[in-house]
Amino acid sequence: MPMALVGEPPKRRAAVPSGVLGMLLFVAAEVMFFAGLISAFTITRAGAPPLAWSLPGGVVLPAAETAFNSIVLMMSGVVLVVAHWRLRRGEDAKAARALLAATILGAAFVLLQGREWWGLLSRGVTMQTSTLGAFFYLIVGTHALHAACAIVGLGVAWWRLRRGALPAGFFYTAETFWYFVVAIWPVIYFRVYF
Amino acid sequence: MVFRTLVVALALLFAAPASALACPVCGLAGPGNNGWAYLAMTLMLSALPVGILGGVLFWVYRRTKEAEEAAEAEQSRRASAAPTRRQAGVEAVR
Repeated sequence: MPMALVGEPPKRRAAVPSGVLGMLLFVAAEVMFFAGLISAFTITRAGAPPLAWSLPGGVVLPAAETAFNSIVLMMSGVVLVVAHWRLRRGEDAKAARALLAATILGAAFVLLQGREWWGLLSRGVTMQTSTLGAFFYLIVGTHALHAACAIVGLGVAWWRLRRGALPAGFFYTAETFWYFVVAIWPVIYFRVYF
Repeated sequence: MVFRTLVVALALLFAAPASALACPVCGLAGPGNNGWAYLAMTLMLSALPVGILGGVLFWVYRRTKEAEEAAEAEQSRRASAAPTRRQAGVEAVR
C-alpha cells in the first residue's frame, strides 16, 4: 500500500466539470438568443395597432392547454432534481427511474405542444398569416427544438446509467441543459401567450 | 467658405434630429406608444450578459474555493496521520 508523503501536494479535483462549464457558456449564449427573440416580440407587439396583433379567423393561442403542458414540464424539472440527489446518494436504480420519468415528462411536453401546433395549423394559422403567428412559431418552435435535443441528452444519460457507465460530468451537463429548457419556458409562456 | 460650410453643417445638425433617427431599429416604431418597450428591452439586453457572466464567474469562484478548502483539509489530515505510521515503523524495527 503506497504511503502518502507529508510534503506531497494534495490531489486536486476539478472544481467544475469541464462539460458543465462548457454547457453553462452555451446556455449563456442561448439565453441571449431567446432574449433577442423576446425583445423583438415585445417591441413589435408594443408598436402594433391594437387590432392588428391577433391571429386570423379569431383564433386565440391555447393558453389553458399550454398551462397544463407547462406543469408537465415543471414536474419534469422537479423529478430531475430528485434523480440528481438519488444519484449523489449512490441509489443508482432509483436515480435511473427518476431520470426516465423526467425524460418521459419532457417528451410528453414536446408531444402535447406538437398536438397544439397541429390544431393551430389545421385552423390556418401559419408563419405567413400574421406577425403574431410568425413570432409564435419561431419562439415556441425554437424552444421545442432545444427541448428535443435536451431530451435526447437525458435519454442517453438514462441509458448509460442503466448500463452502469454514466460519467457524473455527462449527467450534470445534460441536467444543466434541461434546467435551462425548463427555466426559460415560463418566460416564453407568459410573454407570448398573454 | 469655411465659415459658410460650418454654418450649413450646424444648421443641418440642429434640423436633422427631427427626421433622422439615431436608433437603427426605430423605424419599427408604430402608432402605439412603444417607447417603454425599447427602454425595457434595452435594459434587459444590457443587464443580461453582465448578470449571466457574473453569476457563472461567481459560481465557479465559489466552487474553486470549496475545492481548495477540501484539498487543504485532506492535506492536513494526511500530515497528522503520517507521524503515526512512522512511529509504527520505528516500533516494528525495535
